[in-house]
Formats: sequence, C-alpha cells, structure tokens
Amino acid sequence: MKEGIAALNRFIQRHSLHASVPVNINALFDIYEVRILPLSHATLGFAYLGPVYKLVGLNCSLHIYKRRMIFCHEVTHGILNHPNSFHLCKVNAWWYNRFELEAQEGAALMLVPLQPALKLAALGVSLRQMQEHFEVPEELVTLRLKMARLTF
Amino acid sequence: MVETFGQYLKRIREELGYSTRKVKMVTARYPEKEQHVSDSYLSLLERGKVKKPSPGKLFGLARVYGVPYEDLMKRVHYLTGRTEDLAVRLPNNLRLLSPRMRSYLARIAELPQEDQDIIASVVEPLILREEEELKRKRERRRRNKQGSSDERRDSGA
Repeated sequence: MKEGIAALNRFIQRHSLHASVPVNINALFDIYEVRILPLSHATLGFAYLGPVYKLVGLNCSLHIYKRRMIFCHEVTHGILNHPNSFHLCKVNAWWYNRFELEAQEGAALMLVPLQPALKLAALGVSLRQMQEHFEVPEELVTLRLKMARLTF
Repeated sequence: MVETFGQYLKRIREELGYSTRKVKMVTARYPEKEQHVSDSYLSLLERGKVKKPSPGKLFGLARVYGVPYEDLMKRVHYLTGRTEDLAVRLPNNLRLLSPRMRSYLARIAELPQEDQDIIASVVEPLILREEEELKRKRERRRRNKQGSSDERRDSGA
C-alpha cells in the first residue's frame, strides 16, 4: 500500500483536492462520468474504468456524504491499478478482499485531509461533528484516524 | 433428479469417450493459458468440489466438448437476463474473453436482476463502443506503420 499511498498523494496534489475542506471533488467529474441510478439497496455503486471511458455509477438512494465516499472509493480502484476494469461496490463489503479495503482507505485519504482531522481531534470534536465538517460518513473519518494510528 | 454441473460435464466427457487426461492434453495445446484444464481440476469440477470455474476454463471445455460456450456459462450462472442477451449479441465467443468483458460478466452475475439490468444498460454500450474505438486505433496505427515502412523502401530504391 506504500506505493499506493504515494500514487494517491500525487493524485490529490494534481487535482488540488485538499485545497479546501470539505474536499471539493468537482474537478474529478471531468475525468469520470458519473451516473446516479435507481439501484437496489444491495448495490452502492460500480465503476467501469476502461482505457477510453471511465464511468462511476452511484445508487440514487444514498446520502450525499455516502455518494462522495463511494465515488472516491471507485476512483481509487483506478488510481491503484487494481485488476479488472469493472468494480462493484456492494453493501457492507469493504473487507472482503484487499482491493476493496485499499479502495476504502484511498477514499479516506482523499476525503479526510489529515491535518484538519488531527486539529479537530485535538480539540475534542466528536466524530459526528467531524463527519459534518468533511461531508463524509462517520465510518470514513474513523478509518482515516485509524490509518493515522489514532482511535476514537 | 436434476443433473448438477459436474454431472453434466462428466456425462458429456464420457459420451465422447474422453479421459480426464485426454481433456488435459487437448486443452494444453490451446495458446490461451486460461483455457488449460488439468485432469485434477476437471475431476474437482465433476465431483462438484469447484462450483464456479473461470469463464476461460469454461471456454476451454466448450472447445473440447464441442458444446456452446453460452450453455456452460448459463449452467454456472455467469449469464442471466441481459448478460445472456449480450453473449448472444456479441459477434464471437472469444470477445467474451477479453479481460474487460470477462471481469464485467463475472461481477455483474453476483447482483440482483434489477441491478444487472440497470448497470448493463449503462456499461454494455460503453464496453462495446470502447472495444470498437480501440480496434480502430490499432488498425490506424498498423496502417501508419505500414505506410512509413513502404516510404522507407521507396526512398531506398
């Protein structure tokens, strides 16, 4: 994952993702086409990341914070060159293989900048408030802090 | 009693009078490594120890047994609903084995039918369009290469 983190950091810098909080991901919509679709509760989203077309599909019933997370999760599959060009994000399935876990960690890296998160943690801000601050689900804040070896 | 996938494979093999070793030898001649089926793997398949072989292995078996590839794909539930239509619509079976299509078909089969339909309506045209574009690009590159080598030959003459 070390090389993966370097690649993700390059990606974050190239698109100035951490220039603002909450992270503005609008720049990525020029690269990845996004479709909001009426998928069932079992499917959170999917991505087709081919050599020519890059498309991310998101479940329309998801809260905007979760949509941001799933989008970045899918984008990470492409940045880390995970095998296969079609990726599926099923409900509660982050842990079922290494690639899903890495993609989830990538989403946390992208959407939760470490320094602001550490500052808030030092101030004793609750996870719920941090979730509102970064506009991501609580689980992603927890994961980011865990990655930085901090626990709540 | 309903015939299982393993029993079906065994029945066809025995009807053809092939041993598992013979199947291994035939598939070993195929240039695509993913289509090679070892005798031990085939035995596991026939005994039902392996429930879902890869599409590549299925293609290898379809070639040896002379049965339609789509039929084997359907029996292990790779193809359902729209994906089945896609397999029939595609110009040849080999196309299904392109890594893009293979990964797409294998993953989409895990989903509920309604999600399969929605995703297929968005992703399938994209994959097909992309494959066409890549094919055109390859042809253009090949033509350019040929043109420049002809030019070199002419200038040399």
